[in-house]
Amino acid sequence: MPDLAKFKNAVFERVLRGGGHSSTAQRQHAFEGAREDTAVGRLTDKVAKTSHAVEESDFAAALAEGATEDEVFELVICAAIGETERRYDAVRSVLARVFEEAP
Amino acid sequence: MRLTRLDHGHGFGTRILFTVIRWMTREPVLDVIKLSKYRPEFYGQRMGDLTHAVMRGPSSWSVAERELMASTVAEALQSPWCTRAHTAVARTALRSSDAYERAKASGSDTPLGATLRILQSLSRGGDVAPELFRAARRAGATREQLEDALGVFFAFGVTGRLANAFGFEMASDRAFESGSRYLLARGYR
Repeated sequence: MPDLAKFKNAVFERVLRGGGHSSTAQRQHAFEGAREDTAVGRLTDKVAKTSHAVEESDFAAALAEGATEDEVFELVICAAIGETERRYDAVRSVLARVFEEAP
Repeated sequence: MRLTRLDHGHGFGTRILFTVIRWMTREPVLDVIKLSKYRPEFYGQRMGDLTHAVMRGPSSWSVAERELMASTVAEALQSPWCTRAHTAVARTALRSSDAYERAKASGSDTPLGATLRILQSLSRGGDVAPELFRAARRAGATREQLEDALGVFFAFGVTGRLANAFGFEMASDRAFESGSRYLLARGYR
């Protein structure tokens, strides 16, 4: 496979540090899974941990709190990428340890 | 979808493209296309490049095996949209439903079967036991193959979560079949 890290870094660089409607700090928080007691924070937490349970009302609450659709779009994407990256990183270290063992 | 802009916020050129897609397929535009084409410079372009590299780049896994892995990740994430989409691509790539079912039921003593078990466990959210990797290694899976499979996990861990979160509307079998043919011919970019 081509260098996955290069492709991932291009995604991370853009969504976390490029221009957007939300601030880079908000996007970083969503990416890191920082728990925030706001409707947007609860939505991004759900996206990361139980995306199948996200409902219309989660989006409605985030928008009612004053977030714009573009801000929510960006933060949901950052939450999904951040959670997947944490799981990917953790499991890669398991893979590395197993392949260091004698066969 | 749960954000109006994902249905109606695209630029003029993209709306023309959607009209062409609707005209050619006689089906609504798939929600995954609407997502990737909404502000593509923010997410869709780079994620499309990543997904294309993972799913169509060099690997000792076949395209069909990687699509089966994608559907396995989606199923474990409880993403019905992505499960149907990638099951359809895998079936089309394998040219029969029987071949798909046989591949999906591969035993844990085969590289593919052992790798699918790792992806299921990883995508369900719990810790992945080292024993699953040891089993894959005993079954003959190489480190490179497992790294490639984790790349599939990354691409569809993100996409499956987004399909669930944004509320992708389930498409018809015909639309998924048409999408499958496109993905097998052109890839993800």
